Amino acid sequence: MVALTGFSVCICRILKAQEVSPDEKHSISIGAEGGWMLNQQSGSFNSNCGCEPFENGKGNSGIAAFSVELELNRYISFGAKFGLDIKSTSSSYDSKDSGTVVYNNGSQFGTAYFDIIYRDNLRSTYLFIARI
Amino acid sequence: MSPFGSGLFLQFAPEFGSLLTSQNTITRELPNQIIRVNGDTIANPLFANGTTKETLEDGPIQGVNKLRIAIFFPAGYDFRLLKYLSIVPEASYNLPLTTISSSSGSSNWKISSLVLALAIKYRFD
Repeated sequence: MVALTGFSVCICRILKAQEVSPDEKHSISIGAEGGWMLNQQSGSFNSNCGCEPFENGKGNSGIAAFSVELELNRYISFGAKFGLDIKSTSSSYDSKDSGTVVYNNGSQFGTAYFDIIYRDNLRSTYLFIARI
Repeated sequence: MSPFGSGLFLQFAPEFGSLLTSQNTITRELPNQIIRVNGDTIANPLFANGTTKETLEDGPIQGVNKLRIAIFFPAGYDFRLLKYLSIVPEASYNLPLTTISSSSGSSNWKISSLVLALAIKYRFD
């Protein structure tokens, strides 16, 4: 079992600010998100166990997230999202010497993330500003 | 225009990740009740622990890399169901650029992910 937990940072395009009308209303929205994740290992993994390398690991896992967005005006919105995801893979092989021993390896890759999001309301386009 | 009106969105983001913890477990097992070793037949073989399954490794990944660099590609569609309610199906792909471990036994070990998600959003004026 492999478990990895981390944080990440994304750097994305930042668009030029657009004109803001001072009498426009602000609004706030909240959201919840859930999903399914298909994970694929590439390359090979090995350790000091005396085994052969593990290859072609695959696995399914899930994500969950909550978000908040603030509409500053009819042109732009800013949002934040907090989420958790788990990437898991597993693989196994029969020993080459006798074919009588099966070696198994499983992995889980857990990540907590916090996204800061910019949205162009007129074009309905989201852009990440940062993932931490 | 509503911030949650309908519309396609596409995103692209380089991602710099720092791994904090890791754990690795490797097991092996004897699936057959009869095996042949050097011409001899052995019935009901067991490992030294007296069972047909044993754990070889259970601990942190050797040579784990603290920095993970990837490219993140989300895409989705924002459907407005009601005045204040919308749903957002989204698909994303995470393409790793760096390996998980730099130990000599591992070769270009990476994990990529395809994510299918559904979000529900509610707006307060």
